[in-house]
Amino acid sequence: MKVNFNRAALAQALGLLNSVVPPRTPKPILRCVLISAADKEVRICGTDLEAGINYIIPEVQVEQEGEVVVPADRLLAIVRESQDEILAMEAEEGACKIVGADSHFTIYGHDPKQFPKVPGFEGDGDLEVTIGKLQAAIEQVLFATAKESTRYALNGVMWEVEGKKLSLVATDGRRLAKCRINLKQAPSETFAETNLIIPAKTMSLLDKVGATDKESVFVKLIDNQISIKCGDVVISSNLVEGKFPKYQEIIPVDNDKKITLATDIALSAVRRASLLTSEESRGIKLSVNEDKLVLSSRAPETGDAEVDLQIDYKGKPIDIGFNPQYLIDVIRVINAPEFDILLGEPDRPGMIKVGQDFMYVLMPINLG
Amino acid sequence: MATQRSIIHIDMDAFYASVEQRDNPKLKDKPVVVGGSAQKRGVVSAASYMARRFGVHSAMPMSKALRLCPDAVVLPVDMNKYSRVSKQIREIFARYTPEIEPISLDEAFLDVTGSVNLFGSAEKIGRQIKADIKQATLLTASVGIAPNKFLAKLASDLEKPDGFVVVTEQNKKQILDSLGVGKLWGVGKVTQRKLEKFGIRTIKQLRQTDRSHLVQLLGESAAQTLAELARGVDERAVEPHRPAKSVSGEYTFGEDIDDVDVLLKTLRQQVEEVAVRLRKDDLKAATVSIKLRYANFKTLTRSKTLPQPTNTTSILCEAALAAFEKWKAEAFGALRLIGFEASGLTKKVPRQLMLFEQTPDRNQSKLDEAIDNIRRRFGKDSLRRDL
Repeated sequence: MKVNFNRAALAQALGLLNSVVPPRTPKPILRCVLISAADKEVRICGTDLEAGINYIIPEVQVEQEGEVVVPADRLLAIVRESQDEILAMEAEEGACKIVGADSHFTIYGHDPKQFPKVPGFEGDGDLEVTIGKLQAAIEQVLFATAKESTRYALNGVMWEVEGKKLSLVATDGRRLAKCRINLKQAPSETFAETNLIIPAKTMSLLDKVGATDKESVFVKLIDNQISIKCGDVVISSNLVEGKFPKYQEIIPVDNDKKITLATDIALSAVRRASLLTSEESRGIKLSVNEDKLVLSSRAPETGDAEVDLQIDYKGKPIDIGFNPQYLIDVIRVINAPEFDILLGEPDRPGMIKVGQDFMYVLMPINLG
Repeated sequence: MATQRSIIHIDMDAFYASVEQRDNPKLKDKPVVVGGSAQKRGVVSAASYMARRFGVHSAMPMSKALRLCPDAVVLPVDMNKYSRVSKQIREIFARYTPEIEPISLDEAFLDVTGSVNLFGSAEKIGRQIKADIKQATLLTASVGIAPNKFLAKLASDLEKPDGFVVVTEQNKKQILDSLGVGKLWGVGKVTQRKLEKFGIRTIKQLRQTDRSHLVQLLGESAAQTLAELARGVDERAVEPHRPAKSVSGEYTFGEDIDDVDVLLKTLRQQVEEVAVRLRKDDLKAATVSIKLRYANFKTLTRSKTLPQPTNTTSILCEAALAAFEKWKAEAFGALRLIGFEASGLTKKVPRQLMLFEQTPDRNQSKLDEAIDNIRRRFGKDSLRRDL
């Protein structure tokens, strides 16, 4: 194999690949990427056996076809540190030479035949959505997924299709985020029928794909796999097995205490009110009274904090505790100047809404 | 340390037995044993000094005590009476210092560092307290005075009964040198045997043992603690409001029981009793343990950590039963005692509620609250769970 790469384009590809390559694995070959040059096209593939990326690298010049498997982190470091506009890569007998204007590297690789197959994208997609909308939705729900829960379904994001609407739903059992996107057209039936839970890692890969906002993402399902194509990048992934909780049942319908807050003011207020919380007393209290919202916290070892906000409120007063991080997480991703908080009882879930398409349900902390 | 502390340890002599002897002069000079009866397989709670001469000591099965000392006068435990006397004694302590750490009804640490300007030296305070106790209760106490808790407790034990020993920085080495390692805090039978196997019998020998050798034998932290104690160093403070570390209950059967239903029923009763006490004190437990004592007195404990601290009966019960099932599968045998302990206690932890599983917990706590209220109003036996 002999290929000339545009260094910047190769660096971008490797940057994304590096997110899928597992940092620790009993199989050393998984810490590598497969680069295969055929005809005029060069693909770069990486996988952790759960998710994989199959990436067509733009701006290449193939001088000789062939394949090579090299450690991703080493290759990325070389490509990032180099100053050249063009880098030449030449592979022979398991070694890979990278040549710049004043440099020459030889990396020892693995046997390309041993590298697991990372699927590309054949044919048409069953669902189409613009990448800008999808990435915005991912950012609004991904933080609410569980980290390493034994309830595997909570470690993923559920895709729920209803007519021409796609909803992404994520929950860790304490809070739930749901974001709805309009589709150009209703996808094929299989989408509505399949229990579609996509691992958080796959979702974050998708969020990292560089593209212009209007570019289309095509999605299709094959057996227990999902394949997502955006431009020259194909992400394939296993689906998460397991049942997503019946979340509709916990969405509050009669939360009658509604306040509207400016996003930036609310974020600053929650942050400040939580500055003195500690691991043991991590709750902050929201006290809603007539035209006034007081955010306060108290930690026995540290001290206490209080932030007062003017609001427009005439309803019944309520005191309710929340984990401030769970509020910060959501307020940070709200892309609107203001949002609504709807509360019911101090031991029942509170809700945050932005327009019709974003909803966040948050279980309170029992302040005792 | 900034200032030299003055700690007094006061230990009533054969407390329960002495109270009984005081209240019934006929028992004076007789071997008196307080505890559960031999027929009910009780154990000795306290033995008079006369009874101790026959080898009787507390925690010994009553049947064995009677074999050793057939003429012993056995009396039931009258906790109310001992509590009253204990209260009298604590009132005496409080005259001299607010820094009182009660260990049990008949034992306490006092920090009198701040009291010497008012009442004179620690020794003088110690003598005064001893005299006050004698005058108010006609009972004798052994008193130990030292710069720290470990030495104070050691001192009160040296000349028991009616002892009075002062340990100072000057004489502590001499006193420690002659004592066996078993006198060190935290050295039980197992550690003692381990140390003796390597020729470490006295505190002096332990102090002279190479540090790395000790670490090898006992591990880093135990070696550190014991080396300090052997030098007479102990920086633990007298803690007047020492929070409870655990709440427990146990039950000794009249005969050894291998009927799983009976064992489970008894365990559930213990859980319920402990849960009520937790809720009364507004405490939640992070860990539960069950205690299982076989006919031959071999005792096992099995613990389980809860996902969230709780005081809900049903959740504690579920964890206890899980531990029980595990024991049943691994080491089942007839038991003479079964017990339940809740530990890792915390007060009013702000608790994150859960979206999908809050309902049973919430209902259960409300149920517990209702049951506790009814019992408070109408008596402990007014309402029972169907166990």
